[in-house]
Amino acid sequence: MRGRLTIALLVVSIAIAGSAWSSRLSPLTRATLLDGLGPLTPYNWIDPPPDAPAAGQPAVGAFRIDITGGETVPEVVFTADDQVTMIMDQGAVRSNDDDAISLTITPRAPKGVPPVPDGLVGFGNAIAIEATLRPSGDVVASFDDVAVVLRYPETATLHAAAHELLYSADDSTWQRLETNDSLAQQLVQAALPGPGTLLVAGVPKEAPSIASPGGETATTIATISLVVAVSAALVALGLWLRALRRRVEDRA
Amino acid sequence: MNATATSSDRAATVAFSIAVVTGGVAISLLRHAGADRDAVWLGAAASAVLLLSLTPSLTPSLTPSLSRRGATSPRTYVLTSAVGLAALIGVALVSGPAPAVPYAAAAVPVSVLAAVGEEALFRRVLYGLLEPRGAARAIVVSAAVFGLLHVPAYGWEALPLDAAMGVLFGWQRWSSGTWLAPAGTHSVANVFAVMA
Repeated sequence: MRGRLTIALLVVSIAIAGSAWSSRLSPLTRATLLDGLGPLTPYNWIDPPPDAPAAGQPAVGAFRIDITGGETVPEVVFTADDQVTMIMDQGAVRSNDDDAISLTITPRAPKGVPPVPDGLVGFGNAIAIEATLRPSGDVVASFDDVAVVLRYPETATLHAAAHELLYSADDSTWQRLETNDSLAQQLVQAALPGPGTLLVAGVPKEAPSIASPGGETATTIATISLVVAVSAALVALGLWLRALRRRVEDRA
Repeated sequence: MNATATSSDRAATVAFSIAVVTGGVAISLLRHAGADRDAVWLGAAASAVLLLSLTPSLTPSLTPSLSRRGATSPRTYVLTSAVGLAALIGVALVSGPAPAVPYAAAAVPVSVLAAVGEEALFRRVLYGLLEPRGAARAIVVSAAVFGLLHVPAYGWEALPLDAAMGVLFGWQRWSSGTWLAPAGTHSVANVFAVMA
């Protein structure tokens, strides 16, 4: 009994340690399903492409984050449509003369932002993040220990094997941020250096989605898989019933 | 038990494994189907196949040849599940603030179905095949495969989490003698992730 308890504690410790390790590597692992099959809501575009499923307009976020002891308190804020999350550690912004910051998250049409680097295309809305100290009204220039998470869309014509976050502090040039990409959740995450504009970008490729015009192959494979699965399930059921009948006969 | 019944058990397990894997492939391909009506029907059919293929497996007598440890007492099952829930609570406490993920309402049943399907594959079939060579090997190998198969979806950063959870699920399979204990814990973890 004592040995089994020790093993149980060891296993729980391994699970917790593995989770802590992944969480340190990327905040995206903190909300994962243990498989990749959770369907998402349609993406909210400002300017949707023709093949995007119907959805609403993206949400704007406005938040107040308190400053105590000269630094902001830890806070997680996200827009109402869950398309933007900011995870702010303690001391993300420092000021001895203010008691809060006002933070706004505003989706923008990608047409109004600088052109993305060669070979890349933008995925979804650009996101403008502004922060102002209160009550002084001074504009926040930089962040410490802030992680930003953006959702990106996937359509029949907009699909990539990897995505990255572009950041512009001055709305004229892009800086490529070191990015974690979760294809299953359609989320990217990066450390945010300061207020500015963000855009998810990637190298587009043909979508494997069966909803795409070129997705007949995937549809065919899915259909064949289903036929095989149905057949195998029926065979398994038949074999199981056969084995069950033999056992009943043996007992009789 | 006679030899014919045992060979039928084994053949049923192989057929069952094929049904789970191909059903899973179909669901994965259909994941991005959106509102396509045909795809919804195909997805429903894939789900029905998975459930149908799981039905006989709910009877412990299906694959006695693949399990040295038979199903243990309900008390052991409950205790093993309780340890799994305790681990999930511990994981939630140490993992830190999570980003919002806009899951659709359908994510709850789909994620439960996926959890049961994955546990049927990893802790019932794969573990069962490996168990004759030692429970420790079965736990470690099934956990490693479980972790590695999720890298394309979540990235290498999720490997420690998925592999560690695989160890937990494998231990539950060993301790309870049934794959239903890890299937329950896996389902709760998924629902928690969707609802949080």
